Amino acid sequence: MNSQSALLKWLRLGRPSMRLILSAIVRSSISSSAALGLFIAAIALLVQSSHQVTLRSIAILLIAIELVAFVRSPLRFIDRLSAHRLGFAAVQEWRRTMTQWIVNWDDLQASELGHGDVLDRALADTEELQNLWLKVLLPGLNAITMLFLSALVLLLLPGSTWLGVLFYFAIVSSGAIVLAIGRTSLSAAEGEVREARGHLRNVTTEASRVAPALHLLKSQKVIVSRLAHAATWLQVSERRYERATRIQSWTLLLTSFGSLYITAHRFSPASLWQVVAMLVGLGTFDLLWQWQGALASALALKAAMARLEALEPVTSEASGPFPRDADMYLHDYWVNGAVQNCRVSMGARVAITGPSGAGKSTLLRVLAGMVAPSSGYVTIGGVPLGTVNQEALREFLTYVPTESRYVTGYVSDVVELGRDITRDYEADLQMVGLNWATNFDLVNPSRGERARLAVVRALSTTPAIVLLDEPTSGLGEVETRKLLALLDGVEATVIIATHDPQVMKWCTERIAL
Amino acid sequence: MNLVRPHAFSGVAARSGRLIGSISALLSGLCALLLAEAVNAFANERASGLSYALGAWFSKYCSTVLATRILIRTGTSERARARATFFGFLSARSRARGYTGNLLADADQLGLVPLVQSSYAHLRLAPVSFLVVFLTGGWLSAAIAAVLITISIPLYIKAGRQAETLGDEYEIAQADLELRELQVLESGQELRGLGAGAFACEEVAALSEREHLSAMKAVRAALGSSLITEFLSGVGIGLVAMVSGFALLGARTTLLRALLAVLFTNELFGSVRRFGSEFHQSQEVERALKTFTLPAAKTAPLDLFPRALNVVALPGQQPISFELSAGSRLLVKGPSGAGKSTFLEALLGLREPVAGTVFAGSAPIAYITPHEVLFAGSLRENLDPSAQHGDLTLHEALRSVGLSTSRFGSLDVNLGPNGEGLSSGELVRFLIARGIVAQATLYVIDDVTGLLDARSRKEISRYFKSRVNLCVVEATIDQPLISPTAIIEVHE
Repeated sequence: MNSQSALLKWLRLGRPSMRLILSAIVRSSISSSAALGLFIAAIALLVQSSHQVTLRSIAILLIAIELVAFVRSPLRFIDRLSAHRLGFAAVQEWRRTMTQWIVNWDDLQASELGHGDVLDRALADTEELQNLWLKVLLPGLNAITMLFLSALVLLLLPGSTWLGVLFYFAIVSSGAIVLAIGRTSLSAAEGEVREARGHLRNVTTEASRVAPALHLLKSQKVIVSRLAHAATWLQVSERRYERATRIQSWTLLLTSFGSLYITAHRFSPASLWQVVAMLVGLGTFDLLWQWQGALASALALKAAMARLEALEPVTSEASGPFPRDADMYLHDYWVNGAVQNCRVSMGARVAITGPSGAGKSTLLRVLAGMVAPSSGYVTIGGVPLGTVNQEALREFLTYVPTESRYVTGYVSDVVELGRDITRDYEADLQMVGLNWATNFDLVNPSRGERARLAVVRALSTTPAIVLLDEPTSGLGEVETRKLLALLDGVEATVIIATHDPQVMKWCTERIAL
Repeated sequence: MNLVRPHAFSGVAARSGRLIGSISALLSGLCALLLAEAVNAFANERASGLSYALGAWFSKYCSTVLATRILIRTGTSERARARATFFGFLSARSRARGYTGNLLADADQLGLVPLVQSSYAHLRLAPVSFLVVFLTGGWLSAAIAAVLITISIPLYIKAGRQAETLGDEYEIAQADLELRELQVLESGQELRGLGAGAFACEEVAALSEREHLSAMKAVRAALGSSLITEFLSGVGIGLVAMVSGFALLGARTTLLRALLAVLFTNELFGSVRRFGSEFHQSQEVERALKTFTLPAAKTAPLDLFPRALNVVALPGQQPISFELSAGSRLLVKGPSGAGKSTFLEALLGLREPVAGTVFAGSAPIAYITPHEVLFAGSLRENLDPSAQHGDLTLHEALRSVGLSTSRFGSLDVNLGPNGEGLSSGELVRFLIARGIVAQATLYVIDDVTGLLDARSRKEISRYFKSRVNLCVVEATIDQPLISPTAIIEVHE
């Protein structure tokens, strides 16, 4: 995807209303012309006063200046606020999309990027995209408007020549173009800074998880040096980027010099107007400075966009319905040098057993349609699992990995997760020994509590098939018995990966790996 | 560990910031001076106008471009120094693992130290501008400037306080968002398995909105305070121009003096404005400096093993006291949710106990929990994070916990980007092997029930039995790996 179509795509994903955009543009142009106008008018007033002593002309100028002075800052205030609002609305949409993507990843994609890296992209890079409005489009448009306005002011001055204005215009625009071209060559440096930032965040996130244990073990050399390395990389790339921007300073210097020379020289013998022309020339510096800032942000944006693109899920959405008959078949699945072929009929209680590391969890994920099998295939009611629409599939088939983590907040939110609930989960919770009211705020439930909660949660939509990975780890004998009693009461097919003898005894069938 | 003291951050950077600020303030004044002379020359149709104008422009260029460049440069070094101290902060936290946002953001804030200092320096030269206004524009212009600036000062202080509260609020909202997003990342599989993706999206969107609302409040406050100065400076320049204009009309002054009065009023308000816009920034920097302030170093522990004296980890628990020695096998028992893990965390100094005292030990401790994770990298790096031991030692350690299958044959095998790749049972055994390699003398095992199959349980029990000098603390509901020499019951 080229950068234009990527940009359009992101704009579409988080589109603010046209009215909001237009009003933001108009406001920003008005506020910056007011700022320029005030300064020029104040100087002009003095020059005027020293030459032509008519009270009326001075009074008019004075009133104009005071008016501008009064409205200038409120205008700027409104301008900035509307730009921020524009960006924030978009960021929220982008983050929603990003989360959707992350949840829809398959195993492979989920294992490709470090969490800190994804976090940096989903939070920092979307924030960067917000600058599309705040720092790129609005200031960029504003700089262009100001350029035309300056040329117009020069043109309206008595004694000005078309040629002179054209010359001014040409010099400033060529400066802007040189800045733009110079920026493109900075793209690589900018990309590297971003990459280095993501890397540091990734390493830091990782370190924050392993640091306490490694610190206790007094064995942290690898992580400390990794952190130092990431920090150094970022510093080096920041330095490199800084050096690469040097050419911009020279462009700014030469262009501003040129425009000042022209405006100061070419314009008319009438002294007051020459002063005004020169001030316009001086203003060129601000204009180009703003333009270059907009370009810098545009570049950062481009790099951010490229990083976000990489998060899009690769899997295509299947569209088939969930079959009526929920008998499951596993065909020709090779594991540990043996082929597995088996049938799980509706309502069965199946244990997947084997020593740790034998591939119990992987088989469970294959059966749950979370990952495509490395060999063979799975069917439900004769239909290949991969052809069933995700939404329909999850309504009838739920999967719980070992060590549930999404468990903070109100009990009702944590269990319901925005789904259509068809079971009295409060009773289920009580049955497994969790006497929580639905409005109880879970802050940091223990491992055993999490394990039981996860099972209740998976049953709360009355699925036809439930797949559980080590559901009793962290539970004592009594608690395990309660959990099994709960499972006894459901009609669904229950498939459990386990090495808990108590659970194995409860199951009626077994797949041994 | 080499941890830099907080004030070491601000030394060089602050000095260079102040220097740059002073120089750019002087250059900016020079620009105003030259500009006045240029306009004056143009107005009187003198040819020298152009060279003055060029001079004015040159000083403006220098003060803006060079100052920006140098400030960014020193800022980069500041950030780098802050980032070099991360590990010390990370190792002290057990709550909210994986959350690093404020640390990174605060390090970035420290990069603004020179910028903030330069705006202070700019402000310090404001009296010079005031003097010029007084000398050229007369007492009335000076009075106008003085009154308007005096009005703005209390407004600044108020805006600064407001910015500080809003900053805190924003930081909390940001942390909530980041933590939730991290949870979504960690539980992506589970959410997909339950068909709850849409819910997670809505939650993140809602938290993102909350973050933006508090950011918006902060922006509004910042803009509000800049609105005031912008407004006052606009009025100030306008009024001084008016006074000077009337003076010109009455031929009481010259054009050059009038121009100087107006331009230096602009300078004066410029430095106040600049300080104002950096003011809330400086509050942020101060907060960041606080983050990087470490608690005073504790004295070295007296004993080899940690000791608990009347420790209450969760409210409502009975106080617990014990001492450990070589060969101790301490079993912490209690039902699920009674606070066994919390107690162990308190014992290890990973959280503050509600009451009582924990005396730290000096022994290397292997902390083994089911939620412990490995880091991206090879098996070797994870097994020996101090990078000190040879392959023979490492293989020996793996063998003693029963990890001798072919996948542990090569230590160069890389784990996934989040340290994933081992099953939960393998992970527990791997963590014990890591302790063996690091010659840990204390093993703290937090509830690994149900993660080990019968054979590995036996192997690990045997290992601990054979090493009589090791000290082991284990928390479990009902299936200990050790034969305890002491038992502590934890009840709600």
